[in-house]
Amino acid sequence: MNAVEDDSHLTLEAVHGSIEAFEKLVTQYEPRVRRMIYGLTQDVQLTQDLCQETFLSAYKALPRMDGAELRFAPWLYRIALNQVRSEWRRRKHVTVIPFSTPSGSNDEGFDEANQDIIMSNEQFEESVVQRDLVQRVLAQLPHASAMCLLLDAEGYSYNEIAEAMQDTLSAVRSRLARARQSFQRIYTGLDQEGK
Amino acid sequence: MKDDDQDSYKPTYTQSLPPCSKNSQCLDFVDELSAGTAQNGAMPEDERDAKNLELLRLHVPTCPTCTSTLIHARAMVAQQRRALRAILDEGEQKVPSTTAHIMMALRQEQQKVLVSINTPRRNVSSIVPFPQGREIETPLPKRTGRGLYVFALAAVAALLVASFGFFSYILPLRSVTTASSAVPMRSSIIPTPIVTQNTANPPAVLTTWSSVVITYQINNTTIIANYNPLSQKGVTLATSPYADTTVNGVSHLGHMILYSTYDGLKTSYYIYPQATTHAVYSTAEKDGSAVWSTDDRYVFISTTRGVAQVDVQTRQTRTILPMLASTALLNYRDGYLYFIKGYQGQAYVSEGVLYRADLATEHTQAITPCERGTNFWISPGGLTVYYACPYQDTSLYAVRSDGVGARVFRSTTNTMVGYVENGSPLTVTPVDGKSQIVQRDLADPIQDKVLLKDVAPGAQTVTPDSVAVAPYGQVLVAKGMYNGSDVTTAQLWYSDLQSGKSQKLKLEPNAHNPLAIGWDKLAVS
Repeated sequence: MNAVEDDSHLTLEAVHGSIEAFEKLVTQYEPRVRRMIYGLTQDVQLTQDLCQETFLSAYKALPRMDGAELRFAPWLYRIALNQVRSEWRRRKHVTVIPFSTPSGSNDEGFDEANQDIIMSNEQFEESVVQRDLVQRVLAQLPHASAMCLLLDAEGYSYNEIAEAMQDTLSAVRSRLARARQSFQRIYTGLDQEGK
Repeated sequence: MKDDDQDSYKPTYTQSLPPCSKNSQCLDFVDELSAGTAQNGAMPEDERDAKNLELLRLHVPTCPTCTSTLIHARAMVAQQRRALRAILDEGEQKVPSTTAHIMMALRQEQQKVLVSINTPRRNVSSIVPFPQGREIETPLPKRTGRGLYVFALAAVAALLVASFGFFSYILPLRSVTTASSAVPMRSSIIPTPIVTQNTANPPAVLTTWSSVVITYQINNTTIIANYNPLSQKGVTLATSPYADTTVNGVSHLGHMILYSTYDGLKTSYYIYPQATTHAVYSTAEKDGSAVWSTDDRYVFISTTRGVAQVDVQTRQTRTILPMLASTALLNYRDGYLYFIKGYQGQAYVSEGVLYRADLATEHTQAITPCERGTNFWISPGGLTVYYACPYQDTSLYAVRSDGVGARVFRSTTNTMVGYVENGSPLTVTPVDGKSQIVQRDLADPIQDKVLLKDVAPGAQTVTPDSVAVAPYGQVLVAKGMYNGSDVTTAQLWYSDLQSGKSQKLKLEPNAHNPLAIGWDKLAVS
């Protein structure tokens, strides 16, 4: 499915300096960016700050963009992800926040033998309501993988995710597959720890 | 097969199946194999992937291992998406909107361009600080580590309201005729809804469907009222200054009413009765539709991201069924959401093919075979769907709710408006310039009965959309249109289908464009 509406007209106007057009884009996309950033940071205050910074950065960058070519949503998500990354870089020396990749949770290194655990967990459905568990899983995934999973859950197509992640379609497909399997493996591990 | 020799992986659920080296590729392509479409890219590896996908499509049906893998992978993906959407929904609920702050910061950015400021700034940003709580009463300093300005929000808001048109919608509450009192401001800058709801005395809930929800306009204000035709008494439930005000539906138990307004920026959904006039859900989209769950616990609201499932009591929201984005929801029944896929892909329209989506599996299926179908009705038991196919003929069609057995139910001109107690459809049928209400027998057309010879005496036309039949089909309210020399006027009529008697509904003299929505069990006193 395609989760991006046709907002090319608004984007074009915004690039040409229309603040009203940009305000409409803010109204349209702020809830989506907010929920996405929260999914990545799980911090209310930080989400508010980064959400605001995302839109301000977008506003400031707009005059440099090609309005006819710009696809607003993936571009905006790219900015949001960069904000999250920057924040992580700022913070990583002073505090522990949920972007670390614990040993064994790097989905780049996923090996096929893990698929057994990943695919056969019959307990998943009943514990899916445990949101804190899901949040902990997200916190343990590499943030690019978490972003990929969240964009997919939001209904964005692979092409849109690729655009937001500045990656190729093929890479997104592989990353998503690995991320899903890592998600399930970490989830299963955490779930079993808690029992 | 050589490929098979390379495989060293054997998951539990495929242990009894032959090994297959394409198994891991199935996981990579699970979405495309499930959707039957490819996601195309322009890179050389995309061409390679497209070829792999083609080969997999040929391979999977012949390979029990890959078939099993795909089944498990689909289930896993669906479960994960649901879980992740719950987290995203939680975030949207937990984190207060930043839109107003962004708008303010944008205006400040503009001001910076317009006004030359000589004061040196260190790490200047226009970001407006957020307080820690949800309620924004007074500005709090932003964390010092980020070098951001501290502003008096109220002062900034006042300045901006005075300076810019964007905030012109922040208006005082209108003076309205309801018993409602002014709603407390949520914050000094976030606009309070101008919609007002009668929150003074929650009405008693009766055991009978004795009142009908109607809407009408007076002086550009939309009134949502509850009216008891027998006592000829009415009470205002809510008022809205917006023309785009819609009653989405009465809950299945008849205790609550869901309505929505579009204020030019967002659509807000409200429930009556509630203690406050705060929206249960808001979205930036103008169009949309909403239906109640059968147990009245949730409302389902269509959005461009899918369906927002809103818990009526806790207001917790999660987005489900992204494949239903921008569709008109019709009904919820037995775990299925019925929705209309608009003709030629149009969003939020009532003309198209009726589908249903299984909430548990997210599987969707077409129900009606007419590509420009309209006027869909699901039978009280949920087993049959009635519909019209006006670009084909004037018949009333019926099909099982699983999409099987579409047939002509009646071939004469009929517009369905409801049911009687045994599930027989009621239709409005034009006869000699009058609009009859006819009970259509489920088994034998000869048994059809005319229950009312003229649903709106003297009217030139009757709008079937505004015929509200009470559950069990004993009474109804219908809207008749009367052509005058200059203007066309509308009149609502109440009819008892057992006695065949009708009477006018007496609304306020200056009320216009009345519309009957549906029946409820809320007392009118």
